[in-house]
Amino acid sequence: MSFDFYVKADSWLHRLDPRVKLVLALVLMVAAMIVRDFWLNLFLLVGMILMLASAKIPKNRFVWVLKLTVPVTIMIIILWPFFYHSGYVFFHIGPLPITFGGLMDGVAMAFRIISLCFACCSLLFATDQSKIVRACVKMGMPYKYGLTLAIALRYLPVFFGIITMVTEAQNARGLDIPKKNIMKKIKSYMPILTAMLIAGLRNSDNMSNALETRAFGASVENRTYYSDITMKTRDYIAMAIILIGMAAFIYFFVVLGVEVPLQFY
Amino acid sequence: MSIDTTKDPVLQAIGLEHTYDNGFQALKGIDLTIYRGDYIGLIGQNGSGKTTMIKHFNGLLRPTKGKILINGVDEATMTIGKISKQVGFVFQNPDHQIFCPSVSEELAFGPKNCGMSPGEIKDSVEDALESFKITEYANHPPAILGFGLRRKVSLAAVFSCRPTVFIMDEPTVGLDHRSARELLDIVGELNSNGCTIILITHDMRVICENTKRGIVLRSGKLILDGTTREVMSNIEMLEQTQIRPPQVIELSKELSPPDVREFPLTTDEFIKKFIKAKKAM
Repeated sequence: MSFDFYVKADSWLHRLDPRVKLVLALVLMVAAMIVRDFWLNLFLLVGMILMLASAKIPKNRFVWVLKLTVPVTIMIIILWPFFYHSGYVFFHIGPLPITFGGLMDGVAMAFRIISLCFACCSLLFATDQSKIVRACVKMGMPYKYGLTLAIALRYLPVFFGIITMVTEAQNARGLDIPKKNIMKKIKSYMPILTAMLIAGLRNSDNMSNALETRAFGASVENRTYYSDITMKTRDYIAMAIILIGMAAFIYFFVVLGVEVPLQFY
Repeated sequence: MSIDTTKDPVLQAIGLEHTYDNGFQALKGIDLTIYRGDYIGLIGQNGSGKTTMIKHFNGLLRPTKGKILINGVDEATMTIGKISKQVGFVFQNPDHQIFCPSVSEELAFGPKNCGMSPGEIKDSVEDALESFKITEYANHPPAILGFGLRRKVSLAAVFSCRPTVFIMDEPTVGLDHRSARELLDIVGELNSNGCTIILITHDMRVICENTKRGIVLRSGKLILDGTTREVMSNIEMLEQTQIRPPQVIELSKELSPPDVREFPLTTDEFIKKFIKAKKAM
């Protein structure tokens, strides 16, 4: 896994204006949040995967996202049926009935979590990070905050790299991280986290010096950018499709309350 | 003169291969024996497999094929904590390991992990402080020391585990000439006290002036292994790996008759061989 979300490729999704993709990601997230139904959540999830696949996102990225979400989704699927009951009763655990409805609702929730991740990915995988920040600044975010965001995104992967190196350096001094005892495990991470923190502070100090030597904070009115973004016709069309799709989705599944029956016989 | 193979082998790589998860084969069958008291310069371009090989010596990576013996024992049976007692490895960037509020605590971290008794820890910390000439900084917070001192702390912190093999990745990078010289003198002293040293560096002068044995890797294979003089005098072979020996050697080659195969490694040796010899004539 390389330490960057962005997948360099040339696809319809990559070519869209980052602002459109930002709206797309938001719309997809909202859609995933407002529906709570096994079939609809599954539909959204599959839809997003197909959309990303059509945008030339390689398979290993999907696997990576799924791997990240596995612990949470498993926990949801296990715990959900304890608190939500409807429909056919499989069996009882103490006073709690474990029901088909509860289980399916849990699975729908799991789909929702994965969908939220893929919604973010539709923006992050297909957009150069600097372009995302440009979009935010163009939409009114102060440049300083935009830059902070850019640096944070840029350094996230770097920090993962440093964690690996720090861990190896401490391992080489005999630090064995115990696998079982959780308290000991947390304690054994102290040398790694402290060294990380110090390295991080040193980095940020260097970074701020580097920024200032390049005249960061100089009051320049209407500064220009090396790579600027502009909305083209296709971006307006895409935006319209997204918004109409969103409206239709809300109309059918929220206002009208169309439901796909799910039965266990 | 060739390598002294009569001493005990401390590290042995037998048919060592390593393929990373992404399918890249970094080591393609390395057979190497390192003897007690060796002072080795490990040479190779970036990506030649130096770091991968070294990481096998201290258990950070495990062979995908072949094996490693440490003092005759198969490494596969040991945890990394156990290995680090015998093989110390100092990473390039000292900031990746410094975390304690004082230098002496930093130095005590390794010995504690290795399971030394409090008395032993105290002794080995004092010994390391003294060896690296940082006793006066024992109570300083290491994170705010200057770069040269942080480097020394990082070396001392690994040395305090009393490893029999001491591996250093680019210890002189970022140091001025005097600090580098001082550091190499310390390392030389450790070697003459019986510590086996492996030095990774791109600085050929450092290799020539300090090490006794040279090992050259190219794309995962061992292509040269011999005394530093033998290796450095093999200009044709080095050229294939884009390595140029120090100018002293190139100059000596130009000045020597074509059948001479070994050249002076340092300026002092050069002066002795060419200038003083000429004066004597």
